[in-house]
Amino acid sequence: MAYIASREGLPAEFVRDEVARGRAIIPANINHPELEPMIIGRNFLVKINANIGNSAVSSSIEEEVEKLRWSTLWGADTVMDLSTGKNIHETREWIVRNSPVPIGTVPIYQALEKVGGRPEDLTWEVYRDTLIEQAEQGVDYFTVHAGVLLRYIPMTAKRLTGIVSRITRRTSPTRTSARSARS
Amino acid sequence: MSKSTPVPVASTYEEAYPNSTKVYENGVPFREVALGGGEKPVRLYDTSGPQGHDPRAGLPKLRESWVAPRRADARQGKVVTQLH
Repeated sequence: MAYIASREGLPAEFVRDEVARGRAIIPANINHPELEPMIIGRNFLVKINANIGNSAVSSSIEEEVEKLRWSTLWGADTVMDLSTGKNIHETREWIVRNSPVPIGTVPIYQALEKVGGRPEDLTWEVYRDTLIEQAEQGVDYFTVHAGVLLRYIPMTAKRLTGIVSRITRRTSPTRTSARSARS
Repeated sequence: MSKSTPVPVASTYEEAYPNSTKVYENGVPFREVALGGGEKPVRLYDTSGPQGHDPRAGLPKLRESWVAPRRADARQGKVVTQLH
């Protein structure tokens, strides 16, 4: 917290109070010791996220690390690894081991990969094990895509902020739901 | 995500920010920008991380000494705080 306070130019007590009051978070996995701690909250500097991911055509470890380095060099405060495919675990390992910023993922991508891309085969156990696997690697934050049942869609009509799905790809219940919600 | 986007090659820190130097204050990184007109240099937030390392070796483990005691406590089944 002293590290963060110094970065933000604020007293350490202020950092601690904001976290204690639930107005700020410090995404820092104990298994990501390469991290330079940072904070996200309404009373701190605005943070920018960058998304990276392996290409289906070719992607080497060096390329992935280069994308990460490019992002942080130009000011990315956090990086999401949206890689898919066979070497997803290894790719992520290299990204985390080379990242001075918090790394986030969308765990359902890998969970789906594990069940051959068939959403109907996805179980809580598969998803849970994916979360644990990624947490043990040092992933600092997750985007959890929750599915929405059709009968709840009317409840979204009067929302103040609308519904956002930033990431739409692959075949998943989430994508279908997000689309229904928009129409 | 387009499948054929070429991977950009990141320039070095010095190439990217020719008028800046990376400085550390109590271990915390800042980008110090040199200003003209006799103004004092200004320090900015820096996300670039340690430079010039081998990707296969990974970055230096900055927080290892901070988290080691917590890890040890957790192994003994003690309650550990996340507030570090």
